[in-house]
Formats: sequence, structure tokens, C-alpha cells
Amino acid sequence: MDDAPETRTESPPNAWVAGGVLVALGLVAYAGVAWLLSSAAQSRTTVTEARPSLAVPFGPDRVPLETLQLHKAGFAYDCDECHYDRVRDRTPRTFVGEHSKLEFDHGRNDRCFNCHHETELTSFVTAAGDVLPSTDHVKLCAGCHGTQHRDWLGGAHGRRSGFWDRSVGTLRRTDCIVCHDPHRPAFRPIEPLPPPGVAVGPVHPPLEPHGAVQQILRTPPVVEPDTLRGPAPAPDEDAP
Amino acid sequence: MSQDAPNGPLLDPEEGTTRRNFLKAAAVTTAGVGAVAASLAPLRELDATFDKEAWLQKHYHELTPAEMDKVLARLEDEAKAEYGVDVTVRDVKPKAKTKYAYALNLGVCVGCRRCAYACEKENNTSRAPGKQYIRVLEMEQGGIDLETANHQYDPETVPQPGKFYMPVQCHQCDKPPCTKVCPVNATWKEPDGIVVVDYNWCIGCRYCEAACPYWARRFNFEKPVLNPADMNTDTAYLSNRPRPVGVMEKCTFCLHRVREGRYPACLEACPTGARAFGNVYDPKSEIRYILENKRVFVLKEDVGTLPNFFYYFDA
Repeated sequence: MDDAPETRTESPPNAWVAGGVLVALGLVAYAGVAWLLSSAAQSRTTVTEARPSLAVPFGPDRVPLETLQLHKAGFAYDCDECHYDRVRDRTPRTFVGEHSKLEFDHGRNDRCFNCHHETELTSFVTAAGDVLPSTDHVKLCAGCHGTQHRDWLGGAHGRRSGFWDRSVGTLRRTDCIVCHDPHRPAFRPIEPLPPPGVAVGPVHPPLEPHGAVQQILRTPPVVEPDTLRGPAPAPDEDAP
Repeated sequence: MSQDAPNGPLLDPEEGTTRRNFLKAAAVTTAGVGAVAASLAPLRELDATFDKEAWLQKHYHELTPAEMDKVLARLEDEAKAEYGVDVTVRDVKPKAKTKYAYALNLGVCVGCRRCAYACEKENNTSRAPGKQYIRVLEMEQGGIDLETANHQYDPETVPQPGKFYMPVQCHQCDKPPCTKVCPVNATWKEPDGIVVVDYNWCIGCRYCEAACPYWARRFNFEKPVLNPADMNTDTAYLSNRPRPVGVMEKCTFCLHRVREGRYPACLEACPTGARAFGNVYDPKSEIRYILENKRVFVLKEDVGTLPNFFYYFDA
């Protein structure tokens, strides 16, 4: 009766040793299988620097506005060719003659010479009546739209692109008249892009439902197009 | 031989290696090895599709630079094999002393969805159906009623009278509920504030999608459908590299762009300039100007997520 308890107390370590041997053998077997499955292609070294940057122009095409394009072109015409001997009338609130194509809707600012100088026609006029070069159109707008100008300088108004980090690259900031037609500054309604869930552009044909498993196994399902549809209607069958 | 009991130990040390003990151990060992081999048999059937390195890849935080280079090279090879496009996959690290924030002026947003489609193109999200990170909500003017908001609006032109539009994307919260619920730590918040997903670590349980109060996470129920000719080949591991099926994805503020100093794609696409972005630690940044001078608010402030995405109304 003295020997039996001794063998009982020694049995657990022996079982652990046997289990450990089994686990080790299993790991060896797994490593062998993984080595067999691994392809000959081992890791390759790649150069991670000097990757090309993506230069994709973002943003929608603007609404082609004839007048706006004229302004963006930089006033490449001379007003005095027509206006050299005209008596300037301060009263008209509509565009006539050569200007009839312009659309005018600038709120209470409805006089030509509020912005254009009366005698220096290729220049603008400040609120004090001074001549403002045509290149200073931002200042001209800021004369009335001071809060917008302040926000534009601060970053809360206007489109931006390029680099937010000035130490890396340059920030591109649009001027007022890039987005706003000075004669009709309000934005026009634009067409929205389609709601989500609608495919746009050329894409692969959509996958079959529950195609995830197929894709994991990388065996694309072969589905005949005809099996996706019901039987063809009879020739003499009328639509309901 | 007096201690030879039927229920005795497998190997009796006092007995030494006897024929009986040896046969016992050999039988058990053979059975064990056979069982292990049988359990691994399905791996053999995967053969060509089984990628050992992808299977045994470590967590993003445990990869050494050399291992990360191997992973990136492998991902580029996979993209080349899948789409036939030379995609570069980088691991863009966060900048020091930088925390990103976003501001959106609801007063000038017209709801044209240009941002959502620019994002789709930039981030290689699935095209069929369109899996867009940005969801633009159309709401009645006078209040922010998310329950009656419509994100499927499709009028001829926008903005419609009496409506306003609120784009919603990942808010990169300072207390992100999505990362808390991840059971495998496949999503986390980076030092610069961006919440990212390791697509190779995600198990696709979608807990994070359920936890997000802004519906900012998207799940790849199927393999993403991409047009190889339209793919963005400048990708990063944590943002816009081609994703496998069955993983979560989300807006990362265009991590691969902003960590190089560039603006996010959605910002550059906005035709009205409603979006602003920058480093809140920089007192001269645009985002700081807005946060200091505009009356900004966050969406669902009551849920306590502390978003880094701010809205404001301004002319």
C-alpha cells in the first residue's frame, strides 16, 4: 500500500512530458508543411524612396462662362478703342452694345463705374475714387467684401489646393474671380453627381451574390449569361 | 515487474526503457503526429492561393522596417497580379508635432458630391457598388434633423431651395468608439489623430461599424471592384492600397497625402471651397483661424467622441 501512492504522485509530470513531446512534434510537422507550401520566391528587396507622386487633377470642370473667361484671360483688350470719344453715361444699369452678352446681377452694386474707372477704363476705381490697377482685382472686391477678404486670407473662404504644410510645398489659393463672375458673383446651381450605390464609369461586371468565398479561393465562378435570366418571352406575348 | 499495473504511468522512470513502454510511447506519438498532420491537411488543398507570408504576417506595430519592406513588396506583387497595375505601396509615418483637424462650411456646401467621388478615385474604393467614405446628407433648413436627412437625393441641380447639405465622413475622434470595440486591435488612433485600419489584421467582425455614431466605416462584403485604368497607384499601407474582401475601411484624411503635406483629395475637389484642413498645433494654420474665429460645432457632441471634424455656417 505504500508503493501505489508514490507512483500516483509521479504520474502527472510524466504525462506532461509526453504531451510536450506531442506538441513539439506537431509544431515540427506544421513547419514542414508550411515549408513545403512556401514557394521558392523569397522576400525581395525593393527601393522604397523615389516613388512617383500622383498628379491627378481634382475638381469639377467649371461652368464655361464667356464673360468669366474674358476676365481670367487678363483683360487683353483695350477699352479705349471704343470709348475714346464717348460721353460716358453713369445711369445705365444694363449692358448694351458689345457688352450685351454679359449677364449682370451684382445686387445693389448695379453701376458700371462703381468698379470701373470713369476715365481710366482699363483700371478699377477704389471707394475713394482712386485708380486701382486691373491686376489688383482682389483689392477691388475687398473694398466692399471685407469680411470675405479677411476670411480668404485666413483660410476660411475660397478654394485651396497644393500643400497645407508650407515647409514642404506651395499652397495654391484661388482669387475671387476664379470662382465668382464679377458681374454675376452668385454661384449657379450645378448638377450633383449620382447618389451612392450607383456605379459610375467603366467598371468590371458586378460579382455574383455571395461571391466572397469564390474570390478567396480565386476560382471565379463560370456563369453562363443566359442562366441569369428567366426564359425568353414568347414572340407573340404582349407586355402587360 | 511487480509494479506493472494496467493503469500505471505511461513511462515509468523506475522501469527504464522496456519494450512495452517504448511501444506505448511510439503508438501515442504516431497517433499524435497523424492527428496534427490531418488537421493541417486543408492547408495543402489551398496550395497556390495560400500565401504563407500573408498568413503569418505580424501586426503593424510589431513589424520591423525590414519586415515592412517585405510586406510592402508583397502587397505590390499582389496588386500587380490582381489588377495588372504597378501600384506602389508605402508606409507613410506620421509627422511629429502634428494633429490634423478638418472644418467644413455648411453655408457654402452645395451638396454636389464632388468630394465623395474624388475620394472614391483617390482611395481606390469599390466602384460597384460605389463605396464612398463621404455621405452627403440633405436636410431642411432650420435644423439638423438627421432622422429625416436624405442621402439619396438626386435633383437636376443643387442646391435645392430650402435645403442644406452636410457631408459626413470619419471624424477621427479623440475618443473613438470604433477602436475600443475592435477585438483584435486591427484599428487604432495614430499619433497625428488619424484612425486607421490594418487591412491585413482585420477579421471583418464589423463591430467598429456598429460602434461608430457617424456611419463612417465601410465594409467590403465583396471583393472591391476597381477599374485598373482608373486606379490610384500611389498608395499607402494604412490608407488606400487595394483592399481584400471582408475587411473594414474608412476615411483616413487621405493619410498618404496629408502626411506629405498635401491637402486631402476631398478638399481639393470641392468647387465652393467649403472645406478646410490643417494642423491644429500650428497657430498660423487655416484650421486654427477657423476654430478661433468661426462658431464651429461638432456632430453628435452628446455622444462624447470628441471629433476632429468641425462644421460651421458662414457666408
